[in-house]
Amino acid sequence: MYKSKRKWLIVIIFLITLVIISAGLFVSNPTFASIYPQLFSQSNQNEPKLDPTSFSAEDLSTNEASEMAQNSLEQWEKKILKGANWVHLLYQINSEIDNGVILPDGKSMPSSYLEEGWYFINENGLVEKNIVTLRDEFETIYQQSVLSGSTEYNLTFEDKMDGAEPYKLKLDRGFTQYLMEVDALHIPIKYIDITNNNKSIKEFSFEEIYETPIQENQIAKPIQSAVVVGLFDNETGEMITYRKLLKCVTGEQILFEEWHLLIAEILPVAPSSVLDVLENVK
Amino acid sequence: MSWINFSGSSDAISAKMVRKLGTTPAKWAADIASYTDNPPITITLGWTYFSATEKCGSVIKQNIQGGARSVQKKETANGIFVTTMSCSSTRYGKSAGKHEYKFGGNTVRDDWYQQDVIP
Repeated sequence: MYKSKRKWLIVIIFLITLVIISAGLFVSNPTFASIYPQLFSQSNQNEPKLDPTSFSAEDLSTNEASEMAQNSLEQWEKKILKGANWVHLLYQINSEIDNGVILPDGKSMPSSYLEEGWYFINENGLVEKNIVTLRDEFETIYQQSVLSGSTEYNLTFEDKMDGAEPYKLKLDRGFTQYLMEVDALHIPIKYIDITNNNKSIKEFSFEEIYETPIQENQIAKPIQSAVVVGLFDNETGEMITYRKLLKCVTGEQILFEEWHLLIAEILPVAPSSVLDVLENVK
Repeated sequence: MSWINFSGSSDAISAKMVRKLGTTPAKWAADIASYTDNPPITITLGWTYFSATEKCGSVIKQNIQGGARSVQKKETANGIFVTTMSCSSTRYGKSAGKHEYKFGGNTVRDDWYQQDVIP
């Protein structure tokens, strides 16, 4: 009896130790914190904070909303992330914020552009190679990147990164994960069904209200909240639109980012122009 | 990165960090610090430039400048908060800057960056 209790005590101590060690692994980069703890804590104190209590009680539970978005996304993924195929996605990206990117020719990259991606999905449903092009409607290329093997190339900036691995294509560009993070902070998400051009659409929206207005480095005026909207096609599960507006303390609203899905298709073979670019980076 | 005995008996140290913010979703920060240690002493230190860059795969989505700094102190630090842009592949955050330390007519500069995945 005594031996049995002692055995359980050892097991419990071992599990507690394991939990403490695991938690330590998830703390932000320990190097910076350990070499200079005072500066590390100062920068944490400067973080913007949300005020989740200022939302009305009539909003839906976030769990319910994020699960609905996740279900739509999975419906779309089943259809499009099929192995040994090319996925072609074309988005219109709009913004009123200067992205600060200076292109090699010395010109600023526009805030609004088309983003066209060709992604080869392997048998495991992961992207094995891709070509992503930021361009205008007249085929003027702002940036072009390639993933080939374990290397990612930025052909525009003649830059490359090694160590890349096949990854899961985020068809919603990270929106569902965003909803989950919002959920974790107990911010209510509003959900409504709307109809547009005889198309049934699910609309998710939420507002992040900051405890105190925050200064974003690329925006002159302090921001008091961010309003986010995501639209899914009810029939296909496709996420078709995303919008993030920043509300300034002055009442002005700035479009931080908006995207519209223009093309989503799967093809057995990519066009020769795409394959040629891939071939040339080898 | 550090220079042992840069100012006689003290070390000059440079640090950078990329971190996802815990209190707000869809935000990350690039941090930079220049300081002296073993023991800390007051010298002229800072950086000649500091920037935060967000990439989606290898495409550069945004690049925010944090400016230069040169102060007479034992340490100085700054951070740039970045709202993430949507991304279909892997998102990276990069904190870049050239640290600068001056003491007794001697100046050293160190240009490097820290890049990490932003989930």
